Amino acid sequence: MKDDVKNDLSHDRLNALIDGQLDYFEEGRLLDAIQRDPGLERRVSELRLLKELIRHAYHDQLPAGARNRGERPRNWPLMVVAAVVLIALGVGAGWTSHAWQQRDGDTDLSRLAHRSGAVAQIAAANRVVLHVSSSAPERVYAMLDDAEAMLRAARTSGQPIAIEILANSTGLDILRIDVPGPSGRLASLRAENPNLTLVACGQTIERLRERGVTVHLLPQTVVATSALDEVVKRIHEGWTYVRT
Amino acid sequence: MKFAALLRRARGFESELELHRTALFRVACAWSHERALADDLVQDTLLKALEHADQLRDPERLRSWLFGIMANRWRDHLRALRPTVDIDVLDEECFCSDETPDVAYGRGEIVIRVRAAVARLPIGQRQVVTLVDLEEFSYAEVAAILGIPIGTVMSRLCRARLALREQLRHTDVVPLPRLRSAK
Repeated sequence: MKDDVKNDLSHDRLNALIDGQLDYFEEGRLLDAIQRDPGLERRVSELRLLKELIRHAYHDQLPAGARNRGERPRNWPLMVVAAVVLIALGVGAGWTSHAWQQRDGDTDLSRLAHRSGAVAQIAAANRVVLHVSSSAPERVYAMLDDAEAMLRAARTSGQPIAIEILANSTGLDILRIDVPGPSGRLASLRAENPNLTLVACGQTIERLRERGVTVHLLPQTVVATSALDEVVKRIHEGWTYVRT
Repeated sequence: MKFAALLRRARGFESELELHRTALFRVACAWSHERALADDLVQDTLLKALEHADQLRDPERLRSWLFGIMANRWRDHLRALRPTVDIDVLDEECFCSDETPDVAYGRGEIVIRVRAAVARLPIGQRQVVTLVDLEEFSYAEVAAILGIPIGTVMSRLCRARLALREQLRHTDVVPLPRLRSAK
């Protein structure tokens, strides 16, 4: 079939015609040919009908909570503005890295600062959401190392900090006690740091439930409606968002 | 770029972003045919966009940029499902629904029949045909979003429409004898 298609250029041209991809002259030539050929005319009609059928088949697919066009969105501007703030701050993140290293010679913090100037800047913001959406060990353990380093440095310096670890998708595994993973380390970290909050994505839990999986979370884990909602809420409240 | 300029630009995005969320979801549904998976895919896409907002240099390209992110997330999802299969093979051959339009026909809904036919397309063809038909992206934009040559876009589109025509013809969704000429 592949070769047939490759050799039949008229298919491509007819598709290009109904998709508005031809220039003015080529379109004119093709329309003339179609007018003279009932077979071509029928094929164009079929293609147009198919296109309309596909549009019709999906036009009512709306995400949960989708708003009407005219209604002003409330949360997205905040997300974007917050992202812009991060970008703007990230330009001058070097001073923060320097400050962290001076305050504490901890190698974890040095690595943290070097790995991402933005993260070092974020650490100074005092309220940080660390979002993990993957169970890949390198990501999970890097995030845990960073969280531990920030909590330790804040404790040493007496600077208050609140950290929220938000997990969704396969990243939810870190908060589950029914699957192998770092939940034990997280439980210890949580016990030692009341300023650490663990948040699970309710949407992910619901997906797993639909597949027959009962999720058992670490004690004191908070369940948010969805990871996206939680991020929007935290940014709205002035928290700094870091995806690991 | 100055902070104030960035802020102005961000404010100009707000209504567009909300509209894109719906469009992304619609296409994600057409790719995955599973609302839950589409929800996750869109959420992941928007979070990724938030994380990498600084990489969007041209606000005019916001729409295709978002769909490009979603295409990459979708490929990551497919890879995670079938880590040992070449992703190009997935594009061409795999992840087709087993449900035929005939089965869907039993449920009597044209919409269901069309969705069943789309779901039976190889994912590469499904992506192209939905980006072109649902979101009216140009072939060049689709090529950029999916990271494939324009020629591949055209050939996948062609094969997708031929396959859809055949499948829907069998269930009389495409009522050829009753068609009127469209000029």
